[in-house]
Amino acid sequence: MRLVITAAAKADLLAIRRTIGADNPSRALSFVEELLDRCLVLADTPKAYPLVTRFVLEALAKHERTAFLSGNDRVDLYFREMVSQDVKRKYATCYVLIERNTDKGAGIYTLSAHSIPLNDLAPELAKKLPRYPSVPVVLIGWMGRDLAFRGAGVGSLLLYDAISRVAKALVGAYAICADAIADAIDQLAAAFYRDHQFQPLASRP
Amino acid sequence: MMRGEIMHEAIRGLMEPERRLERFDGAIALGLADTKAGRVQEIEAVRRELRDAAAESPLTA
Repeated sequence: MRLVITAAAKADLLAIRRTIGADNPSRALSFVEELLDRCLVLADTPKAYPLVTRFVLEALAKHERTAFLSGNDRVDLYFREMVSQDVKRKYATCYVLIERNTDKGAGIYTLSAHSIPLNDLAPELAKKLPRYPSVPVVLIGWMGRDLAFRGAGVGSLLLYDAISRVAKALVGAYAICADAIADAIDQLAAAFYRDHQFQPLASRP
Repeated sequence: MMRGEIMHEAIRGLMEPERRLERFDGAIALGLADTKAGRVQEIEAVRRELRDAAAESPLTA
């Protein structure tokens, strides 16, 4: 593969040399030469620095669902057999995290409109809000990660995507909330949400 | 429950990679335009020029 330096790239190299040279003149040229050396590697291994991320998030469509195994039977059953009905009825929207290389589903979550009683909020928070009896929120009803992707940061990716969608949504929602019932598996879920700065509601400490 | 303020803070953090990608896309577009217009040089030619420039006008701290 032939590798060339564009005028814009050369201008960047010159600027880098100037910037480093302002602090450390003797290092400026050697640093830029190291950058050129790294560029040369690209000619032999052009796929060494992939630009695409490992995962992509998509709205649920005709994704393969039977192989999804989160380790939580309720999540797996819901995703395999029930979620499409909820989506069809517009009770929920569902998003699937797909691994690009394998097309395998790494995680899922659903979002639904929801509300929580104003009394459920901490008093110092509730006093800043309008005196309506309930607060509009978006509920993360279901969230699960396939066991094959344990440790890949899938939960955080799903959560950040959910937050991002809610924050950009055209429909008002004061907060995003998640359900974690008090059994052993959901205790893990509760810990996960706490780690991501979620706060418990008064009625569900 | 995650409150609106925390959500927006999280979003600001999330948008940073997007902004970086936008800048990156701009840089790629610039590079492609250079390539199309023939404004390119072999890497060793650039290296020589940089060395010559360094020899002629050494930077001082």
